[in-house]
Amino acid sequence: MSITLEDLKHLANLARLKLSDGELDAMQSDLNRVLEHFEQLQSLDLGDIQFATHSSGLRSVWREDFPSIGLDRAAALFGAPEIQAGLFLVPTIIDD
Amino acid sequence: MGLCKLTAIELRRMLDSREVSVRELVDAHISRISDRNPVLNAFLTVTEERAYVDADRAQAMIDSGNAKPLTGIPFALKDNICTQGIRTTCSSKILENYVPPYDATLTTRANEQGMVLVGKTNLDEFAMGSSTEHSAFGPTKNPHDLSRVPGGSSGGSAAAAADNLAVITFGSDTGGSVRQPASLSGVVGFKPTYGRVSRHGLIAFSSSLDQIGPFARCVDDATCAFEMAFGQDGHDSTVSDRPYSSNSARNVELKGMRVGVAKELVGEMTEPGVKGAFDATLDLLSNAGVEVEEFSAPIVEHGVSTYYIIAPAEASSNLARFDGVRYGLRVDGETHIEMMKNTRAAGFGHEVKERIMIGTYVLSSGYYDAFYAKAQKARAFMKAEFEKAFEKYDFIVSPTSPTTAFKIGERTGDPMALKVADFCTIPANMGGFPAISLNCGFAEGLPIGFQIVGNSFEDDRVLGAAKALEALLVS
Repeated sequence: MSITLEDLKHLANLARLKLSDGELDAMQSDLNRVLEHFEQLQSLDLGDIQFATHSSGLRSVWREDFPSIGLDRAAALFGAPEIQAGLFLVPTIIDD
Repeated sequence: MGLCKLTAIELRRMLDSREVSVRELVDAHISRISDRNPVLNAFLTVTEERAYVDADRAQAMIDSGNAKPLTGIPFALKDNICTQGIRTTCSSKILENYVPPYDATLTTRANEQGMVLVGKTNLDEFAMGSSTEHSAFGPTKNPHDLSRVPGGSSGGSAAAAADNLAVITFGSDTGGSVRQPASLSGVVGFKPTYGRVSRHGLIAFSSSLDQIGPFARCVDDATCAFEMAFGQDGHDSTVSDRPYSSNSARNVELKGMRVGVAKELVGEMTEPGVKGAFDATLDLLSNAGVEVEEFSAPIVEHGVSTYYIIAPAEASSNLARFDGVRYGLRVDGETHIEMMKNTRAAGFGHEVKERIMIGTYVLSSGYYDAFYAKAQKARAFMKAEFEKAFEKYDFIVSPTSPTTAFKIGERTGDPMALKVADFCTIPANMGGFPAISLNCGFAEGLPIGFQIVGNSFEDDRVLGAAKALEALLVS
Protein backbone atom coordinates (compact mmCIF):
# COMPACT_ATOMS: atom_id res chain seq x y z
CA MET A 1 0.00 0.00 0.00
CA SER A 2 1.43 3.37 -0.86
CA ILE A 3 -0.03 6.86 -0.89
CA THR A 4 -0.19 8.77 -4.16
CA LEU A 5 -0.15 12.52 -4.55
CA GLU A 6 -3.85 12.36 -5.47
CA ASP A 7 -4.63 10.47 -2.23
CA LEU A 8 -2.78 13.11 -0.29
CA LYS A 9 -4.69 15.97 -1.88
CA HIS A 10 -7.97 14.22 -1.10
CA LEU A 11 -6.94 13.64 2.53
CA ALA A 12 -5.77 17.23 2.89
CA ASN A 13 -9.17 18.43 1.75
CA LEU A 14 -10.95 16.14 4.23
CA ALA A 15 -8.67 17.39 7.00
CA ARG A 16 -9.16 21.03 5.92
CA LEU A 17 -5.45 21.57 5.42
CA LYS A 18 -3.96 23.63 2.62
CA LEU A 19 -0.58 22.13 1.76
CA SER A 20 2.05 23.59 -0.55
CA ASP A 21 3.64 21.42 -3.25
CA GLY A 22 6.79 21.20 -1.14
CA GLU A 23 4.78 20.05 1.88
CA LEU A 24 2.91 17.48 -0.20
CA ASP A 25 6.19 16.01 -1.46
CA ALA A 26 7.72 15.80 2.00
CA MET A 27 4.55 14.31 3.39
CA GLN A 28 4.27 11.71 0.67
CA SER A 29 7.68 10.28 1.46
CA ASP A 30 7.18 10.54 5.25
CA LEU A 31 3.73 8.95 5.19
CA ASN A 32 4.86 6.10 3.00
CA ARG A 33 7.77 5.46 5.35
CA VAL A 34 5.37 5.43 8.33
CA LEU A 35 2.88 3.16 6.52
CA GLU A 36 5.68 0.74 5.75
CA HIS A 37 6.19 0.48 9.49
CA PHE A 38 2.45 0.01 10.06
CA GLU A 39 2.43 -2.90 7.59
CA GLN A 40 4.08 -5.04 10.26
CA LEU A 41 0.78 -5.05 12.10
CA GLN A 42 -0.84 -6.97 9.24
CA SER A 43 1.20 -10.05 10.05
CA LEU A 44 -0.06 -10.07 13.61
CA ASP A 45 -2.41 -12.90 14.54
CA LEU A 46 -4.61 -11.49 17.27
CA GLY A 47 -7.07 -14.37 17.33
CA ASP A 48 -10.58 -13.34 18.30
CA ILE A 49 -9.60 -10.46 20.56
CA GLN A 50 -12.29 -7.80 20.85
CA PHE A 51 -11.85 -4.37 19.35
CA ALA A 52 -11.34 -1.84 22.19
CA THR A 53 -11.33 1.92 21.89
CA HIS A 54 -10.49 2.42 25.53
CA SER A 55 -8.28 0.81 28.15
CA SER A 56 -10.26 1.77 31.22
CA GLY A 57 -13.22 -0.59 31.07
CA LEU A 58 -15.34 2.22 32.53
CA ARG A 59 -18.89 2.80 31.42
CA SER A 60 -20.41 6.20 30.90
CA VAL A 61 -21.39 7.84 34.15
CA TRP A 62 -24.20 10.31 34.45
CA ARG A 63 -24.85 13.11 36.84
CA GLU A 64 -28.21 14.50 37.85
CA ASP A 65 -29.59 16.71 35.12
CA PHE A 66 -29.83 20.04 36.88
CA PRO A 67 -29.20 23.52 35.52
CA SER A 68 -25.90 25.13 36.38
CA ILE A 69 -24.08 28.27 35.39
CA GLY A 70 -21.77 27.81 32.40
CA LEU A 71 -19.30 30.09 30.74
CA ASP A 72 -20.90 33.51 30.22
CA ARG A 73 -21.22 34.90 26.73
CA ALA A 74 -18.58 37.61 27.07
CA ALA A 75 -16.00 35.08 28.33
CA ALA A 76 -16.86 32.61 25.57
CA LEU A 77 -16.48 35.29 22.89
CA PHE A 78 -13.38 36.84 24.40
CA GLY A 79 -10.87 34.88 22.32
CA ALA A 80 -12.84 34.86 19.07
CA PRO A 81 -11.09 36.27 16.00
CA GLU A 82 -14.23 38.11 14.86
CA ILE A 83 -17.56 38.70 16.55
CA GLN A 84 -20.68 40.67 15.76
CA ALA A 85 -23.74 41.32 17.91
CA GLY A 86 -22.61 38.80 20.50
CA LEU A 87 -22.07 36.04 17.94
CA PHE A 88 -19.10 34.41 16.20
CA LEU A 89 -18.67 35.92 12.75
CA VAL A 90 -17.74 33.61 9.85
CA PRO A 91 -17.63 34.06 6.06
CA THR A 92 -20.92 33.42 4.23
CA ILE A 93 -21.78 29.73 4.34
CA ILE A 94 -25.06 29.72 2.37
CA ASP A 95 -25.39 31.91 -0.71
CA ASP A 96 -28.47 34.11 -1.18
CA MET B 1 20.19 28.83 44.21
CA GLY B 2 20.40 27.02 47.58
CA LEU B 3 16.66 27.30 48.15
CA CYS B 4 15.80 26.19 44.63
CA LYS B 5 17.54 22.85 45.06
CA LEU B 6 15.33 21.74 47.93
CA THR B 7 12.43 19.32 47.67
CA ALA B 8 8.84 20.10 48.59
CA ILE B 9 9.17 17.87 51.65
CA GLU B 10 12.15 19.91 52.92
CA LEU B 11 10.52 23.22 52.02
CA ARG B 12 7.32 22.28 53.85
CA ARG B 13 9.24 22.06 57.12
CA MET B 14 11.09 25.34 56.45
CA LEU B 15 7.92 27.21 55.47
CA ASP B 16 5.96 25.93 58.46
CA SER B 17 8.75 26.78 60.91
CA ARG B 18 9.07 30.27 59.30
CA GLU B 19 12.68 29.58 58.40
CA VAL B 20 11.78 30.90 54.97
CA SER B 21 8.82 32.90 53.66
CA VAL B 22 6.91 32.08 50.48
CA ARG B 23 8.03 35.41 48.97
CA GLU B 24 11.68 34.53 49.58
CA LEU B 25 11.09 31.22 47.87
CA VAL B 26 9.46 32.94 44.90
CA ASP B 27 12.29 35.52 44.73
CA ALA B 28 14.82 32.70 44.51
CA HIS B 29 12.92 30.87 41.77
CA ILE B 30 12.12 33.95 39.68
CA SER B 31 15.76 34.97 39.84
CA ARG B 32 16.93 31.52 38.83
CA ILE B 33 14.42 31.43 35.96
CA SER B 34 15.67 34.78 34.63
CA ASP B 35 19.23 33.44 34.71
CA ARG B 36 18.58 30.05 33.20
CA ASN B 37 15.55 30.30 30.97
CA PRO B 38 17.29 32.30 28.23
CA VAL B 39 19.66 29.33 27.95
CA LEU B 40 17.18 26.45 28.33
CA ASN B 41 13.93 27.81 26.82
CA ALA B 42 12.01 25.68 29.32
CA PHE B 43 9.33 28.34 29.93
CA LEU B 44 7.16 29.96 27.26
CA THR B 45 5.57 32.27 29.82
CA VAL B 46 6.96 33.27 33.21
CA THR B 47 4.10 34.27 35.51
CA GLU B 48 6.03 36.50 37.88
CA GLU B 49 3.14 38.77 38.87
CA ARG B 50 0.83 35.85 39.44
CA ALA B 51 3.51 34.10 41.51
CA TYR B 52 3.60 36.93 44.05
CA VAL B 53 -0.18 37.02 44.31
CA ASP B 54 -0.14 33.25 44.90
CA ALA B 55 2.71 33.69 47.38
CA ASP B 56 0.80 36.14 49.58
CA ARG B 57 -2.23 33.87 49.58
CA ALA B 58 -0.07 30.87 50.47
CA GLN B 59 1.67 32.79 53.26
CA ALA B 60 -1.74 33.67 54.72
CA MET B 61 -2.70 29.97 54.66
CA ILE B 62 0.53 29.07 56.45
CA ASP B 63 0.20 31.89 58.99
CA SER B 64 -3.36 30.88 59.83
CA GLY B 65 -2.35 27.26 60.34
CA ASN B 66 -4.13 26.07 57.19
CA ALA B 67 -1.12 24.90 55.19
CA LYS B 68 -1.58 21.81 53.02
CA PRO B 69 1.30 19.59 51.82
CA LEU B 70 2.13 21.82 48.84
CA THR B 71 1.11 25.26 50.10
CA GLY B 72 3.70 27.82 49.02
CA ILE B 73 5.54 25.43 46.69
CA PRO B 74 6.57 26.93 43.31
CA PHE B 75 5.29 24.88 40.39
CA ALA B 76 4.90 25.06 36.62
CA LEU B 77 2.39 23.71 34.11
CA LYS B 78 2.94 22.36 30.63
CA ASP B 79 1.48 24.92 28.24
CA ASN B 80 -1.35 22.63 27.14
CA ILE B 81 -3.02 22.92 30.56
CA CYS B 82 -5.48 25.82 30.74
CA THR B 83 -4.86 28.75 33.05
CA GLN B 84 -7.58 31.39 33.22
CA GLY B 85 -6.21 34.76 32.18
CA ILE B 86 -2.76 33.36 31.30
CA ARG B 87 -2.05 32.45 27.69
CA THR B 88 -1.98 28.75 26.90
CA THR B 89 -0.32 28.08 23.55
CA CYS B 90 0.26 24.32 23.17
CA SER B 91 3.51 25.60 21.59
CA SER B 92 1.49 26.30 18.46
CA LYS B 93 1.11 29.40 16.31
CA ILE B 94 -2.59 28.63 16.12
CA LEU B 95 -2.95 29.31 19.88
CA GLU B 96 -0.12 31.83 20.21
CA ASN B 97 -2.42 34.46 21.72
CA TYR B 98 -5.05 32.19 23.27
CA VAL B 99 -6.06 33.17 26.79
CA PRO B 100 -8.38 30.53 28.29
CA PRO B 101 -11.58 31.72 29.95
CA TYR B 102 -11.38 28.93 32.56
CA ASP B 103 -8.89 26.96 34.65
CA ALA B 104 -8.15 23.28 34.13
CA THR B 105 -9.16 21.13 37.11
CA LEU B 106 -5.45 20.63 37.81
CA THR B 107 -4.93 24.41 37.91
CA THR B 108 -7.92 24.85 40.24
CA ARG B 109 -6.67 22.16 42.58
CA ALA B 110 -3.16 23.60 42.69
CA ASN B 111 -4.70 27.00 43.53
CA GLU B 112 -6.79 25.49 46.30
CA GLN B 113 -3.69 23.82 47.69
CA GLY B 114 -1.94 27.22 47.75
CA MET B 115 0.74 26.29 45.23
CA VAL B 116 2.59 29.14 43.51
CA LEU B 117 2.50 29.22 39.69
CA VAL B 118 5.83 30.43 38.25
CA GLY B 119 5.17 29.69 34.58
CA LYS B 120 4.00 27.68 31.60
CA THR B 121 6.44 25.28 30.01
CA ASN B 122 7.48 24.41 26.47
CA LEU B 123 6.33 21.26 24.66
CA ASP B 124 6.25 19.67 21.24
CA GLU B 125 3.37 21.36 19.44
CA PHE B 126 0.12 19.87 20.78
CA ALA B 127 2.28 17.33 22.68
CA MET B 128 3.19 15.57 19.41
CA GLY B 129 6.81 14.57 19.72
CA SER B 130 9.48 13.09 21.94
CA SER B 131 12.11 15.82 21.99
CA THR B 132 10.42 19.25 22.37
CA GLU B 133 12.03 20.14 19.03
CA HIS B 134 8.61 20.46 17.41
CA SER B 135 7.69 23.59 19.36
CA ALA B 136 6.73 26.65 17.34
CA PHE B 137 8.74 28.64 19.90
CA GLY B 138 12.06 26.81 19.59
CA PRO B 139 13.45 23.70 21.25
CA THR B 140 14.14 23.29 24.98
CA LYS B 141 17.72 22.34 25.89
CA ASN B 142 18.70 19.53 28.22
CA PRO B 143 20.26 21.02 31.40
CA HIS B 144 22.80 18.16 31.48
CA ASP B 145 24.10 18.99 27.99
CA LEU B 146 22.81 22.03 26.13
CA SER B 147 23.42 20.45 22.71
CA ARG B 148 20.90 17.73 23.54
CA VAL B 149 17.11 17.43 23.81
CA PRO B 150 15.40 17.11 27.21
CA GLY B 151 13.01 14.52 25.76
CA GLY B 152 9.37 15.27 25.10
CA SER B 153 6.75 16.14 24.66
CA SER B 154 6.79 17.64 28.19
CA GLY B 155 10.45 18.67 27.78
CA GLY B 156 10.00 22.14 29.26
CA SER B 157 8.51 20.73 32.46
CA ALA B 158 11.25 18.08 32.69
CA ALA B 159 14.06 20.60 32.16
CA ALA B 160 12.48 23.07 34.62
CA ALA B 161 12.35 20.42 37.37
CA ALA B 162 15.84 19.14 36.56
CA ASP B 163 17.43 22.59 36.58
CA ASN B 164 15.65 23.71 39.78
CA LEU B 165 13.46 26.32 38.09
CA ALA B 166 10.41 24.95 39.91
CA VAL B 167 9.99 22.35 42.65
CA ILE B 168 7.18 20.48 40.94
CA THR B 169 6.05 20.64 37.33
CA PHE B 170 3.26 18.93 35.44
CA GLY B 171 3.07 17.40 32.01
CA SER B 172 0.77 15.15 30.02
CA ASP B 173 1.66 11.60 28.99
CA THR B 174 0.03 10.10 25.89
CA GLY B 175 2.76 7.67 24.79
CA GLY B 176 5.49 8.51 27.30
CA SER B 177 5.53 12.32 27.30
CA VAL B 178 6.13 12.53 31.06
CA ARG B 179 8.31 9.46 31.67
CA GLN B 180 10.62 9.73 28.65
CA PRO B 181 11.65 13.38 29.29
CA ALA B 182 11.97 12.55 33.01
CA SER B 183 14.40 9.82 32.00
CA LEU B 184 16.41 12.00 29.61
CA SER B 185 16.50 14.92 32.06
CA GLY B 186 17.23 12.90 35.21
CA VAL B 187 14.12 13.55 37.30
CA VAL B 188 11.12 11.55 38.55
CA GLY B 189 8.15 11.42 36.17
CA PHE B 190 4.89 9.67 36.99
CA LYS B 191 2.03 8.73 34.69
CA PRO B 192 -0.98 7.76 36.82
CA THR B 193 -3.50 5.12 35.80
CA TYR B 194 -5.75 6.27 32.95
CA GLY B 195 -8.79 7.51 34.87
CA ARG B 196 -7.05 8.91 37.96
CA VAL B 197 -6.52 12.57 37.05
CA SER B 198 -9.14 14.73 35.36
CA ARG B 199 -8.16 16.06 31.94
CA HIS B 200 -10.69 18.91 32.16
CA GLY B 201 -8.78 21.86 30.71
CA LEU B 202 -5.98 19.74 29.28
CA ILE B 203 -6.07 20.54 25.55
CA ALA B 204 -6.86 17.12 24.09
CA PHE B 205 -4.42 15.21 21.88
CA SER B 206 -5.47 11.55 22.07
CA SER B 207 -8.33 11.27 24.53
CA SER B 208 -8.19 7.51 25.11
CA LEU B 209 -4.50 7.78 26.10
CA ASP B 210 -3.88 11.27 27.57
CA GLN B 211 -3.13 11.39 31.29
CA ILE B 212 -1.68 14.23 33.39
CA GLY B 213 1.34 13.49 35.59
CA PRO B 214 3.95 15.26 37.74
CA PHE B 215 7.71 15.76 37.53
CA ALA B 216 9.75 16.14 40.71
CA ARG B 217 13.27 15.65 42.03
CA CYS B 218 12.22 12.89 44.45
CA VAL B 219 9.46 10.30 44.55
CA ASP B 220 7.82 11.77 47.69
CA ASP B 221 7.33 15.11 45.93
CA ALA B 222 5.78 13.38 42.92
CA THR B 223 3.47 11.51 45.29
CA CYS B 224 2.33 14.77 46.97
CA ALA B 225 1.75 16.31 43.53
CA PHE B 226 -0.30 13.33 42.37
CA GLU B 227 -2.33 13.29 45.60
CA MET B 228 -3.13 16.98 45.11
CA ALA B 229 -4.31 16.32 41.54
CA PHE B 230 -6.26 13.06 41.42
CA GLY B 231 -9.93 12.25 41.88
CA GLN B 232 -13.30 13.03 40.35
CA ASP B 233 -14.30 16.57 39.44
CA GLY B 234 -17.57 16.16 37.56
CA HIS B 235 -15.95 17.26 34.29
CA ASP B 236 -14.11 14.16 33.02
CA SER B 237 -16.27 11.04 32.95
CA THR B 238 -13.26 8.72 32.78
CA VAL B 239 -12.11 9.64 36.28
CA SER B 240 -12.63 6.81 38.71
CA ASP B 241 -13.20 6.79 42.46
CA ARG B 242 -11.25 3.56 42.96
CA PRO B 243 -9.46 3.48 46.35
CA TYR B 244 -5.95 4.82 46.82
CA SER B 245 -3.79 4.46 49.92
CA SER B 246 -1.39 7.29 50.71
CA ASN B 247 0.16 4.97 53.29
CA SER B 248 1.02 2.36 50.63
CA ALA B 249 2.50 5.12 48.49
CA ARG B 250 5.05 5.72 51.20
CA ASN B 251 5.58 2.25 52.67
CA VAL B 252 6.21 -0.60 50.30
CA GLU B 253 8.38 -3.50 51.42
CA LEU B 254 10.34 -4.65 48.38
CA LYS B 255 11.50 -7.89 49.96
CA GLY B 256 9.54 -10.86 48.61
CA MET B 257 8.12 -8.95 45.65
CA ARG B 258 8.22 -10.38 42.15
CA VAL B 259 9.28 -8.22 39.26
CA GLY B 260 9.03 -9.13 35.58
CA VAL B 261 11.36 -7.84 32.87
CA ALA B 262 9.69 -7.86 29.44
CA LYS B 263 12.72 -8.97 27.46
CA GLU B 264 11.49 -7.38 24.23
CA LEU B 265 11.77 -3.96 25.91
CA VAL B 266 15.48 -4.48 26.51
CA GLY B 267 16.61 -5.31 22.98
CA GLU B 268 18.93 -4.27 20.19
CA MET B 269 17.89 -0.65 20.48
CA THR B 270 19.03 -0.40 24.10
CA GLU B 271 22.34 1.47 24.35
CA PRO B 272 25.07 -0.34 26.31
CA GLY B 273 25.23 2.42 28.94
CA VAL B 274 21.47 2.18 29.50
CA LYS B 275 21.63 -1.62 29.65
CA GLY B 276 24.46 -1.44 32.18
CA ALA B 277 22.62 0.92 34.54
CA PHE B 278 19.40 -1.06 34.14
CA ASP B 279 21.10 -4.38 34.98
CA ALA B 280 22.88 -2.83 37.95
CA THR B 281 19.50 -1.64 39.26
CA LEU B 282 18.04 -5.13 38.82
CA ASP B 283 20.97 -6.42 40.91
CA LEU B 284 20.13 -3.88 43.63
CA LEU B 285 16.56 -5.16 43.63
CA SER B 286 17.69 -8.81 43.77
CA ASN B 287 19.98 -8.03 46.68
CA ALA B 288 17.03 -6.42 48.46
CA GLY B 289 15.14 -9.70 48.21
CA VAL B 290 13.12 -9.00 45.07
CA GLU B 291 12.60 -11.93 42.74
CA VAL B 292 13.53 -10.68 39.27
CA GLU B 293 12.47 -12.77 36.29
CA GLU B 294 12.49 -12.29 32.54
CA PHE B 295 9.32 -12.93 30.56
CA SER B 296 8.32 -12.56 26.96
CA ALA B 297 5.63 -10.24 25.55
CA PRO B 298 6.31 -10.11 21.80
CA ILE B 299 3.28 -7.84 21.25
CA VAL B 300 5.22 -4.85 22.64
CA GLU B 301 7.27 -4.90 19.43
CA HIS B 302 4.12 -3.54 17.76
CA GLY B 303 3.56 -0.82 20.35
CA VAL B 304 5.01 2.01 18.27
CA SER B 305 2.89 1.16 15.19
CA THR B 306 -0.22 0.73 17.31
CA TYR B 307 0.36 4.04 19.03
CA TYR B 308 1.09 5.93 15.81
CA ILE B 309 -2.23 4.78 14.39
CA ILE B 310 -4.48 5.34 17.41
CA ALA B 311 -3.02 8.66 18.58
CA PRO B 312 -3.08 10.45 15.19
CA ALA B 313 -6.58 9.07 14.50
CA GLU B 314 -7.88 10.65 17.70
CA ALA B 315 -5.79 13.79 17.14
CA SER B 316 -7.20 14.32 13.65
CA SER B 317 -10.61 14.50 15.26
CA ASN B 318 -9.62 16.48 18.39
CA LEU B 319 -7.76 19.11 16.38
CA ALA B 320 -10.75 19.72 14.11
CA ARG B 321 -11.83 22.33 16.68
CA PHE B 322 -9.05 24.66 15.55
CA ASP B 323 -10.96 26.19 12.67
CA GLY B 324 -10.50 29.93 13.12
CA VAL B 325 -14.03 30.49 14.39
CA ARG B 326 -14.21 30.52 18.19
CA TYR B 327 -10.65 31.15 19.37
CA GLY B 328 -7.07 31.24 18.20
CA LEU B 329 -5.69 32.30 14.86
CA ARG B 330 -7.82 33.15 11.83
CA VAL B 331 -6.49 33.64 8.32
CA ASP B 332 -9.20 34.96 6.01
CA GLY B 333 -10.45 33.17 2.93
CA GLU B 334 -13.21 33.71 0.40
CA THR B 335 -15.39 30.92 1.71
CA HIS B 336 -15.61 29.49 5.21
CA ILE B 337 -13.82 26.33 3.99
CA GLU B 338 -11.00 28.42 2.50
CA MET B 339 -10.80 30.36 5.77
CA MET B 340 -10.42 27.10 7.73
CA LYS B 341 -7.80 25.72 5.35
CA ASN B 342 -5.79 28.94 5.37
CA THR B 343 -5.99 29.16 9.16
CA ARG B 344 -4.83 25.59 9.70
CA ALA B 345 -2.11 25.92 7.06
CA ALA B 346 -0.64 28.95 8.80
CA GLY B 347 -1.31 27.82 12.37
CA PHE B 348 -0.12 24.20 12.52
CA GLY B 349 3.50 23.09 12.23
CA HIS B 350 4.69 20.31 9.92
CA GLU B 351 4.59 17.49 12.51
CA VAL B 352 1.02 18.32 13.52
CA LYS B 353 -0.13 18.47 9.89
CA GLU B 354 1.55 15.16 9.22
CA ARG B 355 -0.18 13.47 12.15
CA ILE B 356 -3.55 14.90 11.16
CA MET B 357 -2.96 13.43 7.69
CA ILE B 358 -1.98 10.02 9.10
CA GLY B 359 -5.05 10.06 11.35
CA THR B 360 -7.33 11.02 8.48
CA TYR B 361 -5.83 8.26 6.34
CA VAL B 362 -6.18 5.42 8.87
CA LEU B 363 -9.79 6.40 9.57
CA SER B 364 -10.81 6.71 5.93
CA SER B 365 -12.98 4.03 4.38
CA GLY B 366 -10.99 1.24 2.80
CA TYR B 367 -8.14 1.57 5.30
CA TYR B 368 -10.07 1.63 8.56
CA ASP B 369 -10.06 -2.16 9.08
CA ALA B 370 -6.48 -2.63 7.94
CA PHE B 371 -5.05 0.03 10.23
CA TYR B 372 -7.34 1.54 12.84
CA ALA B 373 -9.34 -1.58 13.75
CA LYS B 374 -6.20 -3.71 13.74
CA ALA B 375 -4.41 -1.24 16.02
CA GLN B 376 -7.32 -1.19 18.46
CA LYS B 377 -7.20 -4.98 18.63
CA ALA B 378 -3.45 -4.86 19.16
CA ARG B 379 -4.02 -2.41 22.00
CA ALA B 380 -6.51 -4.76 23.68
CA PHE B 381 -4.09 -7.65 23.19
CA MET B 382 -1.22 -5.68 24.74
CA LYS B 383 -3.34 -4.82 27.76
CA ALA B 384 -4.38 -8.47 28.17
CA GLU B 385 -0.75 -9.64 27.94
CA PHE B 386 0.34 -7.21 30.65
CA GLU B 387 -2.62 -8.15 32.85
CA LYS B 388 -1.61 -11.78 32.50
CA ALA B 389 1.91 -10.83 33.58
CA PHE B 390 0.52 -8.97 36.60
CA GLU B 391 -1.02 -12.23 37.82
CA LYS B 392 2.55 -13.38 38.30
CA TYR B 393 4.47 -10.17 38.96
CA ASP B 394 3.89 -7.20 41.24
CA PHE B 395 5.51 -4.90 38.68
CA ILE B 396 6.92 -4.90 35.17
CA VAL B 397 10.19 -3.00 34.79
CA SER B 398 12.31 -1.80 31.89
CA PRO B 399 14.55 1.09 30.93
CA THR B 400 12.30 4.15 30.41
CA SER B 401 14.06 4.95 27.15
CA PRO B 402 16.40 2.74 25.09
CA THR B 403 18.81 5.68 24.83
CA THR B 404 20.07 8.68 26.75
CA ALA B 405 19.36 12.22 25.51
CA PHE B 406 20.16 12.61 21.83
CA LYS B 407 21.51 15.67 20.01
CA ILE B 408 19.15 18.39 18.88
CA GLY B 409 18.45 17.79 15.17
CA GLU B 410 19.88 14.26 15.22
CA ARG B 411 16.57 12.48 14.63
CA THR B 412 14.56 14.95 12.61
CA GLY B 413 15.35 13.46 9.19
CA ASP B 414 13.64 10.06 9.41
CA PRO B 415 9.99 10.17 10.57
CA MET B 416 10.36 6.84 12.40
CA ALA B 417 13.68 7.61 14.16
CA LEU B 418 12.08 9.93 16.69
CA LYS B 419 8.97 7.81 17.10
CA VAL B 420 10.85 4.80 18.48
CA ALA B 421 11.96 6.95 21.44
CA ASP B 422 8.66 5.96 23.06
CA PHE B 423 9.18 2.24 22.55
CA CYS B 424 9.38 1.38 26.28
CA THR B 425 6.73 3.81 27.51
CA ILE B 426 3.89 3.15 25.04
CA PRO B 427 2.66 -0.17 26.53
CA ALA B 428 1.61 1.52 29.80
CA ASN B 429 -0.54 3.99 27.83
CA MET B 430 -2.03 1.18 25.75
CA GLY B 431 -3.14 -0.65 28.90
CA GLY B 432 -3.86 2.49 30.95
CA PHE B 433 -1.38 1.27 33.60
CA PRO B 434 0.35 3.52 36.15
CA ALA B 435 4.08 3.91 35.46
CA ILE B 436 6.95 5.88 36.88
CA SER B 437 10.46 6.73 35.73
CA LEU B 438 13.26 7.48 38.17
CA ASN B 439 16.93 8.09 37.60
CA CYS B 440 19.08 4.98 38.01
CA GLY B 441 22.45 6.26 36.82
CA PHE B 442 24.36 8.11 34.12
CA ALA B 443 26.23 7.23 30.94
CA GLU B 444 28.80 9.81 29.84
CA GLY B 445 27.15 12.37 32.08
CA LEU B 446 23.66 11.76 30.69
CA PRO B 447 20.83 10.49 32.92
CA ILE B 448 19.23 7.05 32.56
CA GLY B 449 15.67 6.25 33.65
CA PHE B 450 14.29 3.09 35.25
CA GLN B 451 10.60 2.43 34.62
CA ILE B 452 8.21 0.63 36.98
CA VAL B 453 4.77 -0.28 35.62
CA GLY B 454 1.98 -1.53 37.89
CA ASN B 455 -1.50 -2.90 37.39
CA SER B 456 -4.37 -0.44 36.87
CA PHE B 457 -5.25 1.67 39.91
CA GLU B 458 -2.23 0.44 41.85
CA ASP B 459 -0.76 3.94 41.67
CA ASP B 460 -0.02 3.82 45.39
CA ARG B 461 2.04 0.64 45.09
CA VAL B 462 3.97 1.95 42.07
CA LEU B 463 4.86 5.13 43.96
CA GLY B 464 5.74 3.11 47.06
CA ALA B 465 8.00 0.74 45.14
CA ALA B 466 9.69 3.69 43.42
CA LYS B 467 10.33 5.31 46.79
CA ALA B 468 11.86 2.10 48.14
CA LEU B 469 14.02 1.73 45.03
CA GLU B 470 15.08 5.38 45.26
CA ALA B 471 16.34 4.70 48.77
CA LEU B 472 18.41 1.76 47.47
CA LEU B 473 19.82 3.85 44.61
CA VAL B 474 21.03 6.74 46.78
CA SER B 475 22.47 4.54 49.54
